[in-house]
Amino acid sequence: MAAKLDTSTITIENIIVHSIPKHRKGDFSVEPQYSEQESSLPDGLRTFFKEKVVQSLQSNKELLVCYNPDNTSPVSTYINQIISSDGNDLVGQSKLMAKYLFEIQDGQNVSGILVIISGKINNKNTCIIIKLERDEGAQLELDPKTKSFNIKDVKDLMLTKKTKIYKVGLFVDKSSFKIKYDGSTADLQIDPKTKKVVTTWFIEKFLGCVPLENPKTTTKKFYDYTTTFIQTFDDPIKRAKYTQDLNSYLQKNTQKISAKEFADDYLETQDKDTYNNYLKDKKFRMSEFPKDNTYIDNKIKTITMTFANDIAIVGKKGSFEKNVKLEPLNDGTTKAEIVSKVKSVR
Amino acid sequence: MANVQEIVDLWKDDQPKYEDLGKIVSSFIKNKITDYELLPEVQYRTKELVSIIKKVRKKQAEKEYSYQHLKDKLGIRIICTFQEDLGIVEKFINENFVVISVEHKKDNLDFNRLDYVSNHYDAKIKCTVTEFKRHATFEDFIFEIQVRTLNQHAWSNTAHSLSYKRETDLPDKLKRKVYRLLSLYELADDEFSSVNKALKEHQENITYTLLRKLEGKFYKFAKTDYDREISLLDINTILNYFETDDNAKQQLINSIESFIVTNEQKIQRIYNDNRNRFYEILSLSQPEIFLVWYMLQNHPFTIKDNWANDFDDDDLEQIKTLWGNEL
Repeated sequence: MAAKLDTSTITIENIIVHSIPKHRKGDFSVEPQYSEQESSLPDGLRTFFKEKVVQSLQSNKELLVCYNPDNTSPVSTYINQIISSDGNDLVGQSKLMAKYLFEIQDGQNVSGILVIISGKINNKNTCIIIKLERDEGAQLELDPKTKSFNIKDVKDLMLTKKTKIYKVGLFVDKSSFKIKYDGSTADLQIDPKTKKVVTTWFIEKFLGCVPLENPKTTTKKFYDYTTTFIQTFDDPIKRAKYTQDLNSYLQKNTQKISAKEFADDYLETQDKDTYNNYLKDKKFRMSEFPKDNTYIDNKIKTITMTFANDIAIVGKKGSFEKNVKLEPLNDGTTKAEIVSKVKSVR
Repeated sequence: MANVQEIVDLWKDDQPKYEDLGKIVSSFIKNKITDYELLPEVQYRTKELVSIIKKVRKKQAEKEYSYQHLKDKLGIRIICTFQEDLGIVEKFINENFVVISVEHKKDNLDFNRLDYVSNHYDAKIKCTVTEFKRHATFEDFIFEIQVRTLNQHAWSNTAHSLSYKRETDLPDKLKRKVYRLLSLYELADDEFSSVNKALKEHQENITYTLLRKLEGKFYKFAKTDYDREISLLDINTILNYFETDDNAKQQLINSIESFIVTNEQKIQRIYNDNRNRFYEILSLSQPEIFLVWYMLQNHPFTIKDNWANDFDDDDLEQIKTLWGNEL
């Protein structure tokens, strides 16, 4: 039986840091600064990094991923080597990761810090990657004696506004958990005021991963489950409102969506928890996934309300909400009022 | 007669050993008895040399008796809040110690005896218990464990101060006064027990019912006491998040204990990993943390949407981070 990865069981054993400078594509006059050994990790900092990883993977930005066999990124090989060597190959393999990151970055990418961790989750080996992106300054200094970065400096960077974004990936040997995915990733903005678009560059190009499930299928499942959930309400006006909300949400100009965001933005609090439990039963996750409306495009463009007397009202996106006034009557029926010119009858 | 110098020499040699054993046993009891969802007061003492000599002399006057016969050179005392806790402590003692003899003194007391006394166990450490394995040198040391209620303890201390020894020494009028006092202590224990039982079953005050359900579990994991006033306030606040949804409240009351039991390993790990961080994660030192974890699992939106009105958002984030999530 597949085991659930429980992030509360994460233990951080070893940690190593490499610094990746900003550079133009093909400009190798600058080089990454590699640690030659793991950084020393006092208990307080061990706890700090564990909590940062847990918080990231608990966030709405968390996404289950698989290695894409068609991707040329060698990072999965390095990760697997760290996992299978019980973290013994952490130094060598993490340097290769940093080298690859440096090679694929171009002038568009800001300077970054790559933190690689070997540890355990559910008592089994895991490799955790944290990438910090900095817009400016605050260069880390490599200790010439230990040939490693001071991990406290990394913590300080994560707590200041100098680091705008950090990305986290946690990977395991999926066969030992009998699961279908290789890991879990999250893109986070440390400063919520930052409007920078979070791309999938880290997941796709660097890690060489794709979402566990095809976004077309996930989006359709989200639509189908949510629609079925909405139909469980007795109140037709609430059903109409939530259906319009779902259609609007799916047609918003965003690349990623989530059941959590839909619930937060549109549902009443007590309905949110019922929705959460409903999706939990269906094993559908609340966190974010890439949106692809291909399979549902036709369904979300119109809304149809059919009455018991066989009269139906069909409205296009946005028009229903604006032009149809619904009112509950004491006998349990609903009054629908449309004030407009008749355009056609057929 | 007792050879005083022999006792002095023997005790000079033995006292430090019994002192060490006292530390080991009392620390074990304090740490382990919380698994039985109790948090009693635990004390130990080694006997004073003078008391040893006096006791040996006194016993020798009645029968053949020597220093070696003394079983209370080390005395451990466990003081419980309620009478019903005594049975739980007895179970704990039987499971973790080699019990040589038991005396439930109250059962053997004539109705007209002026006393209100505790349960006594002559015991040795059980070396199969993990925590005692490395203390096998103490395997044959016998000591006494006294288990009593707070009222038995209060009676015992007061009676000791009054220094009366035998009922026959007292005039009838005074004897009657002592009887009346004694009955108050016994009655108090009975009444505390029945109030405790009634409050546990009292469903109308849902906040209190919930706290009583959480308390024992909290002792088990946190191994410390908590602030009841804060708990009652917090629980009441959180329960109000359900507004009129009485079904959800009832469901919570019915399933909170099984939630804790189902997640026992996880909760134990969280407490073990963070035992020295109570000062920075204050919620770990209050039983309502179980309620918050339950809510995060079963009513995440209800708690998140309301939390900021009453508490600090960072606290919820901290509690949530401790719990983690399933990927």
